[in-house]
Amino acid sequence: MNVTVVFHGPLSGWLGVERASFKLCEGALLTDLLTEIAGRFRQRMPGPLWKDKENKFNDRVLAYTGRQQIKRPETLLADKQEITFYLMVAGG
Amino acid sequence: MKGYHGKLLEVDLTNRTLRDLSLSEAFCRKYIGGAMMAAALVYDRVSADIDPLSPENPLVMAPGPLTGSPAPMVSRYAVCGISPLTGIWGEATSGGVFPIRLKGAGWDGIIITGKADSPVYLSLADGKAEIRDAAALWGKNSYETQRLIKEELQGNKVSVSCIGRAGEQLIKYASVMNDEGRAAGRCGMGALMGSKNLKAVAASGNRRPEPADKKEINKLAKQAVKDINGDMNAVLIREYGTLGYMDIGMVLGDTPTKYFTKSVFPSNEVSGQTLRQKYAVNNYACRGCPIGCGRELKNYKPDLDVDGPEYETAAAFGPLCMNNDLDSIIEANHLCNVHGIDTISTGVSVAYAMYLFEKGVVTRDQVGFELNWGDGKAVVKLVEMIINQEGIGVLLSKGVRAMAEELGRDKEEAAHTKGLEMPMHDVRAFHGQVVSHATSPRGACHCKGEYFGVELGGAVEEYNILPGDRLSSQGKGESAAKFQSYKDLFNSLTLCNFAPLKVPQICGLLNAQTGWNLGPEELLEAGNRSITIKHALNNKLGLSREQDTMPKICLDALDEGTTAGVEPDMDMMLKEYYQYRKWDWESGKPTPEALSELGLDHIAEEMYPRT
Ligand code: SF4
Repeated sequence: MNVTVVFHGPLSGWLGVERASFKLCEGALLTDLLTEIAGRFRQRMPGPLWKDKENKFNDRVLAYTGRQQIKRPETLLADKQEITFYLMVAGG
Repeated sequence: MKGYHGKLLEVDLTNRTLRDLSLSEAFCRKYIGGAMMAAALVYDRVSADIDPLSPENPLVMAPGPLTGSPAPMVSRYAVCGISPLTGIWGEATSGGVFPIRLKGAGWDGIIITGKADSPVYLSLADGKAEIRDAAALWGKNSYETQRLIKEELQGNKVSVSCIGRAGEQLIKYASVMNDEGRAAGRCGMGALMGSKNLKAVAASGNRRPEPADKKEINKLAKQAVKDINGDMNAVLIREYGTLGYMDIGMVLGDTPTKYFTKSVFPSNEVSGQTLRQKYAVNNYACRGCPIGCGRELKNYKPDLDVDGPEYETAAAFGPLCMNNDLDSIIEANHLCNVHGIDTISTGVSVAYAMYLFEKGVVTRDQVGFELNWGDGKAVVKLVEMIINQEGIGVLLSKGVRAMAEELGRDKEEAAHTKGLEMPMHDVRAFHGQVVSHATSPRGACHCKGEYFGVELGGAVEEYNILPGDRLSSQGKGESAAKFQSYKDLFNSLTLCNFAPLKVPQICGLLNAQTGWNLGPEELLEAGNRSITIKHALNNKLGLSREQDTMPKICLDALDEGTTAGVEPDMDMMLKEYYQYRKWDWESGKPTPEALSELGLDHIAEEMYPRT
């Protein structure tokens, strides 16, 4: 199945793309998608953005599908689903 | 006494006298330094009817006890007095090299009263202070002034804090500039400096107070740098400057748009990434900061490097004016820096003029050109008119409160609190922010308890300040009060607001520097004292609870974006805030009990005289 990922704002700056498409096995979970993201983009990420041991983004990166936040790594993904990652830190 | 020089420099410009003022350890422990120490000094020196532009209004410049120590992110200083813009407590801070040099000159701060009979500047060098002639500098912009003074003093280790033409002209929101484009921007402290005929303060020297425990502070500082480097917020700011927040703020509905009446705007044209892509950007860091949030745009124009806009500036001249022309924002920012005016107050005043133009209250004849939303050239033109005190620029230079008054408008559409223009954080996106804006002693303020930081993961567990539902007002009054106390202390220590240090780290650094043994509770109490003394000073100057408020234009529910339909419950949160602080809801004053608990009995005696 295909999943589209959108990297919002500063994330797209670091990763070099705003959108990326991933081919995943049927029944893939969010954690599987994260593994794919790391495989493709880990080299471009500033150190604190990714937690290697836990295979996930920094806690300040949130995943959304539409207006719904996806919190659990075991969340089942669907074909053609679009997932947006937002970096949520204060600034300014 | 460890960690302090134990003295202030007192300057009387009228009589051209200079003298040292001893500081006791008890005074330092109680008021720490920076802005709180300044508030204690100002409180005792002003009367209820003080005119902010009179010689009697003291101007205080003070770094903190950690400035000059190995601790990171502490080369900052506070510039304080009664604000010419608001008529109440005025406080602005800035970082750079100047603060460390000010401390290195040999004093814990300077307090300047009087008015020189001709333009002067103050030179502080290695324990020696001198009032010098500045007639030739009057009329020079802030960058030229800094360069000329450095040449005159022939020291490449001299750092200068000065005013530009705006401060000389007493423009109400004139700023004080240092290290080229770093600004102590808010509250019009530049006008206060100008009213004293004081063009600049130059500082040099390497007199650092001995820390109480050198080994410990070095160890703690090293760990602090490591923690800062691993912090996600620091990574963002290092890469994109504070402007890195623009995309995030926009998604959250936190970046005010179209003069606080909208929350959706295509901000990608004016984001930190776009700035990096379009220009040759260098980072600039205050001395001892591993982040470096400042931006320098190399060869912005042939042979011209300029300072890049920060988030607040870009939001004020950008989305607030519906403007996505990044060049015009850079241009407006540069003009503000060169001539020394606050970019937030300027941007909000410009946006208000656009709002009034749309409503037909301000006309083409008055402005001299069409003032349509999104017109970047018009934004720049208005900034020039403010600086040159030309046409409608004169009205805009007084700020939005005065604009609404002079034009006979509803005061609820003037975006300010206590006369200080609203910064670029929309309270509808973070309800706790209402408390921070409404109660801040200097007026609307994003640096005194920036509650959006808590909701975005910045918990302070020691004080049970925890993120919650950002769109709920429930329980936010007390939490925001505690956070405000905690963060107010940063301007006293003087620690940068972006320092992601934990409470025990801050206590540890301060204790290693001073030899004290302050714990988290005493630290919070000091922050509470800081807010209370400034609030009491405002009471002395005539403020009541009525001024702890926000205008409707910033509170009314919007019909778009992620904050659509929500309206913070200001009254509920403020009641909770007052209760936590033990301030009287009717009079708006701290109760005698609250003052006494904070060791402010002298204020209680003045506020509640025995009959
Ligand atoms: S983050 Fe920016 S303002 Fe703060 S200390 Fe570093 S350079 Fe200075």
